[in-house]
Amino acid sequence: MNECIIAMKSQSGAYRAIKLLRSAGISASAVNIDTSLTGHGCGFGVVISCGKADEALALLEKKHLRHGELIGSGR
Amino acid sequence: MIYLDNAATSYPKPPSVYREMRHALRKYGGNPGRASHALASAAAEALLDCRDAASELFFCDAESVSLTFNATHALNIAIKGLMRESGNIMISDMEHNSVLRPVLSLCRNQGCSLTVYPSHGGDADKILNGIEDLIRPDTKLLVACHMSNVCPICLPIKEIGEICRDRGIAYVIDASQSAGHMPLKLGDIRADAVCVPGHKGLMGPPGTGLLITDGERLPETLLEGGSGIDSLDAEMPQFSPERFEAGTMPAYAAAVLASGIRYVTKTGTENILRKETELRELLYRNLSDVHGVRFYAPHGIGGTLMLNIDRLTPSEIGNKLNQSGICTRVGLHCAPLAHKTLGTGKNGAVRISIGHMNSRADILKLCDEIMKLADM
Repeated sequence: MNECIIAMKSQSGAYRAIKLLRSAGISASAVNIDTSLTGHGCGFGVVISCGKADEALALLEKKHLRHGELIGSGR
Repeated sequence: MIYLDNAATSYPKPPSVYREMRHALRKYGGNPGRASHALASAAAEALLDCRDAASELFFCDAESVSLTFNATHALNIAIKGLMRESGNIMISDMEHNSVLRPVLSLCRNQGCSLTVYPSHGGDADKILNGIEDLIRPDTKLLVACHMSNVCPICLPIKEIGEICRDRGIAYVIDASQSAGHMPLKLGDIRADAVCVPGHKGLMGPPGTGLLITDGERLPETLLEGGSGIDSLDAEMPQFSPERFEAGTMPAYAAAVLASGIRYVTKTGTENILRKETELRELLYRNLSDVHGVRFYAPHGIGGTLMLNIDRLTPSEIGNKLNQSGICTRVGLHCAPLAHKTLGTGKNGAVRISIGHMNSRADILKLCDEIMKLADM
């Protein structure tokens, strides 16, 4: 399974996203993101299967959960 | 023992709270919001769950709920964080020192001025008219305690919020004595900050409180430090809850607090209010005709009532009740403004604060003991 990471704007937002995605049947977990990727220090992301990325992003946007870029999808 | 000091802190807690306390430090032993390993994630999820429980009880956005050490901590953030320059601050004559002292600090250090608006025994129309009359062009902040900590007086917080919105005044609610004791739907109320203790009506552990910032203005920070994200930024995050949660949050305490909040939600704040009000009314009914017993502002809602007995000081009454196994609180209750308003500013009074866990038998036993003291 290819893994993608949705960068999140806050750690509470990351855990909120994980709860939301899991309730929708999407496997998700928290991950630290390297400073070199965020550009402004420690960051948090949500790991998901790349195959579920579009569905996951749509869910986050529907619930107005602020997120950053999708990392590792190749797009 | 009969515990009647619930306005200070609630006791006993529900069994579910003690159960959670027994295990929480092991279950949530990681540092929330820092690493992403299993223990840190479990701790972060405990914080999230506490915000969700508060959101469900108060009808507010979960992300607007920040964990604090207590209501005083939340009030200091709200008052000092919303009042960053000179100007007039309005507070009611029922406020606790957790409001009065931060405001007086701003008066000393920042050149602010203080206006005290009257609570008129809880008469909503008079309170609102009084506020309208006292607002000045430079009034920038108004604080209202939802429920007094010494008597059953309640302020019309929703209507006060409407005045503040119309006048462009920042608005802080001290819900220390109302949260968990009565319905509090924040979705209907316009406030910049609502400050709540975790260990009183919400049945959580001491060392917990909530700052709810669901309004238009986000206070400046009182504490700065690690937040787990954006470490290269010089400032704290611009959004709650991380903005107000500098340093390691006590995830175990948040888990226990969530358990208390869920107990309150399940029990129903309407039911809690009804029971506490009925027990206070029973107390007043049984003692109102007893010679030598004096009550202060005894009518209203909720479970708090203040009294004195002729020829005895408040401390003498409290000590004698304590010898009979009854816990009350005497003195000024950290609320000198309220005592001055009620005419007990010199020596204070005995406060009986009834909680959801009290019974009719507790109140009848208290009545017997007070009648004996009045008869001495």
